[in-house]
Formats: sequence, structure tokens, C-alpha cells
Amino acid sequence: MNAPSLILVTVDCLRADHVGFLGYARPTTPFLDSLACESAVFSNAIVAGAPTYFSFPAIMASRYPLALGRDVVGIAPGEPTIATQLNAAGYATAAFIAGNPYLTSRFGYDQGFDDFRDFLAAVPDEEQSASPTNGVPSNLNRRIRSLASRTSLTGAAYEELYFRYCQRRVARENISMDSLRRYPAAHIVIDQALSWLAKIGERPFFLWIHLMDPHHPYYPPEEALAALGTPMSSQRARFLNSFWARENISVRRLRHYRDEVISLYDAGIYWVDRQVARLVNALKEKSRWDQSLFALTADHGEEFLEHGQRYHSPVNLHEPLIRVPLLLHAPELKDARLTDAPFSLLHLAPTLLDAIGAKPSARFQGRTYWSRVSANDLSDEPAIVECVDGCNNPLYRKDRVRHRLLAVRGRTLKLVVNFRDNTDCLFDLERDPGETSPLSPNSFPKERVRLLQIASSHVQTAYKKRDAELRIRAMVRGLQQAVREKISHTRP
Amino acid sequence: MTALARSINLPESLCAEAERQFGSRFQNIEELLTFVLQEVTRNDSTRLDESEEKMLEHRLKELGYL
Repeated sequence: MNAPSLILVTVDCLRADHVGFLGYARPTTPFLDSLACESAVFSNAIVAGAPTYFSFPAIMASRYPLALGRDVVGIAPGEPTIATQLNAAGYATAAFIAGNPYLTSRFGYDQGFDDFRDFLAAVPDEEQSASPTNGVPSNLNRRIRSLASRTSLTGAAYEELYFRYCQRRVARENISMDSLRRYPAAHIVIDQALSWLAKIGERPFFLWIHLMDPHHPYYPPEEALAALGTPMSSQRARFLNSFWARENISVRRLRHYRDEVISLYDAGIYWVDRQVARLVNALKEKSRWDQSLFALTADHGEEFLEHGQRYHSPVNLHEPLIRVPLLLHAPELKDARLTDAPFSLLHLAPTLLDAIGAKPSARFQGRTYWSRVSANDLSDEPAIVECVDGCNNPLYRKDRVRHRLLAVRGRTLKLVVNFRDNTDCLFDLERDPGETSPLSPNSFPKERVRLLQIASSHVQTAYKKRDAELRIRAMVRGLQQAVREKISHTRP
Repeated sequence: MTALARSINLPESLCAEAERQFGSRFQNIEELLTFVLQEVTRNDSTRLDESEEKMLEHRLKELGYL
């Protein structure tokens, strides 16, 4: 009998409370809900960092995102990952990444894969939606804008008029949802994965699929919108995406369109569910399903104004961003098991490897929880989440070398340390799931200290026990890229 | 170079390959290596780690636990 195979599906921006198997009322995930009935489901799976570039080092390499230094991005050359471990063990390995620029060979994510497809060639350069911020204003417009921006009132008036003007112009164009989408939809990615599976024969395999359908701009297939009972024209979707992307606009005005934007986001999730169903059915037809471990999770969630923010910028570590679905389906798990203990995705890689009988790397910072998952006995170990506050573009060093944001997330209590203003806030998620009111400094003193001690130990370990070899390799890779780019720019 | 300098020995083949790859950007091996070492020894990131560790220590002391 072959060694078990591993399928890891990661979904960009998928927050835990928008999947049916974790209680969402809208039927976004009918297939995964049925799969959850025979899987281990973690209702408090917590990412180790957010967004993508701070989350994936933990998912793929079981390493905290800032452990090699906050000036390092991605997986270091030679760093062990799920893929390198299984490739060395003789597995066929492939990754199908739906056009996320941070999950590419530039950042080391291709290591260990026989076949790595990032779909970046299929991604359009610029969003085609219309808005004053991403349109191409004429010289006249630029002059008017410059004059108008002399006062906030005239500046706002200009932005409003220009936005409306753009909307009127694009309303005449009849562009399909498929043309507006910036990432390959799940069916395209799954098609390629199925073609690869057809070629590998009976070998055990590791297949990583990263799907972007719930990522903004939100342009789900019309079929998905119709299936959820929220049909929408591409013109309307285009308007909503443009409005949602506007800068310097009040939350009150954005809130007016929130439900429609969420309908678009949810339809993206539904499409993921449909395509995952297709993948699983194909594996069943090939008689590979019963010899495979299947895991589905996300790199981070998405915000819809819960705290005034949109998308998934690393300016906070609220629950909509850090709590993600995690579902593990394994042949030996005959019945459903649901745990609400915190589970850090730092432990995912060693747990998955252990579950299929492969050895996790000694360099992993996480450890296997497989025996505990099997016994449905997860301990109450808090999960640590970290990111660089406000690092929206990790390609820029000045964006990376800024203060850390850190959360220590227990089952019900969550400590958030903001090093920019040297504050720590404790939240009781049972009484205040929306994290609107930090507890007073006198509440839960012992628990506060315990979580602070965990934070302190984490920060100390991060730089005092840093893997110098991996850090230098990653830095040198960055330098090579920078120098090559400079050389190519200076060539005639 | 007016600053104190140190001589090091490197394999000729390695230097030749570095010159081949990066010669159009750097005048010589010294310039390339100086650039690389300056970059990898920048300690602004570590300084932030240290200040964050101190902040947490201070907080724990305030609460009487250190």
C-alpha cells in the first residue's frame, strides 16, 4: 500500500465565521459542511500572522513570520517546509497558486515542488474598475484635482464628482464578471491540479492549492451569486468594488453598501466550495481519496467595517482577520470532532506530516498535535499572532522595519500588544466577541500576566535564538534580487 | 579606502563568478562585499526586537512579576 497523500487547500481571505460548518447562516459551503461531518474541525484555528506574507511562513514552514527578523520576507532558501520534507521522502509535489504575488519563487514558496504554478501570467496588471483612485485622470483632471485639493471641502467635492463621472462612463461598458476578475477563479486552478494528478500515476503526492476567489476585488462567477440567491450584474459589482475601494470616505457611507459587498465575498466562498467538491470527487473516482489526508484552511480573514476597516491590512489583529476555518479529513477519523481550543497554524505543518507518517523537521517551531487531534483532546495553549504594524508593502524595507503588533489568543481571553504606542489590551471574547471594550487593567490580573509572559518569551526567543544561517540566506536572496533588478534597469 | 581595512582571502573562482554576475553594478569584489556585509549587518530590525522585549519586561515589572 502506498504512503498516504496530502492535499492542502488554502483560501485567501476566508474568515471562520463565513463557513457553514462554523455556523454561518448563508449556505456558502454546502460541500465542506458535509465533509465536516466526518472531519476534525477547529473552531478557533488562529493564523500566526496576517496578511498573506506574515501568515504563510507558519503554514508552510512552521515558523513565526518575524522569527528570521522582520526585514526578511517569505521562506528562506533551504528552509524546510511541508513540500521539501515530502519531496525528499519521494512524494510527487505540486502547487497551484491562484496568482498571489507573495506566494511565488521570489519568496521561496516554490521550494520542494516538482511543479509550481503561480498563474501570475494570467493576472491583469491593473484593476479595470473605475474609481478616482485607480483611474487615469487626464492632465486637465490632474490640474482640477490639484486646485480642488487646496481645501478639504473642495477636495472631497472633486473626488465625489470624479468618482461619479467615472461610474457614468464605465456603466456604458458591458464587461463580464470573468473579465473584471483579477485572479484565476477556482475552477481554472482545480482544472490544472486535476491534469497534474492524472499524470503522476500511483505515487503518493503532496498537492497545495491556493485559491483567491474571496479576495478583493470581489468578482465571483455569476453562477455563484445566483446559487446564493443574490444575483447581481457585473456593472453593479463593478460599482460596489469601486465604491468599497474609495479612500477618504466615511464608514457611514461605506456601510450603506456593506451587505452587497459581503454577498460578493460570500459568492467567492461558494465557488471555492463547489470546486473543492469537484476535486474531492475526482480523487474518489481515482481511488485516491481514501489514502489521502485533506486539509482546508485560510491565511487570514477579511474585515467588513467591524472596526471601521476594509480588506485585511495589518493594522490590527482582530478576530475577523486572525480566526480562520480549519478542517482536517483523514481516513482514520471516522466521525466528526469539533474542538474550540485555540490551535495555531504554526502547528499545522508538523501535524499534517505526522498524520501521514512523515517526519516533521527539527527546525520547525511548531509541533505535531496529531495524536491529540485523533483523541479529540486539544490542550488550551494560547496561539501567538504577529505582524508588522502597517506593513502594507513588504517589498519596501521601510514598510517592514516598523513596530510589531502581537496578539496572544487564548480560548476566551486575548491580549493584544501594540508596540507602537506601548499598550496592551485584554479582551474577553466570550462577553465581548466584537472586541469593542478592552477589560480594565484590574480585570483578570493573573491571566493578563500569564499572557504577557507568553508574549515576552516569544519576543525574546524570536531574536535571541534566531536561525542565523536561514536569516543570511534570505537576506542574500533579497540582495541578489535587488542587484539583478538594478542591473536590468541600467541595461539599455 | 581611508578607514582601517582588513584583508581576506577568497577562492579565485568564487570572485570571478561574482564579478561575472555583478560586475556591471559593482566596480570590484571589495565594493560588492562591503555592500553585502553592510546590508546583512544592519541592525534596525534587531533594535526594534530589543526595545519590544524591554517594553514587555517593563510591563511585567509594573505588574510586580519581574
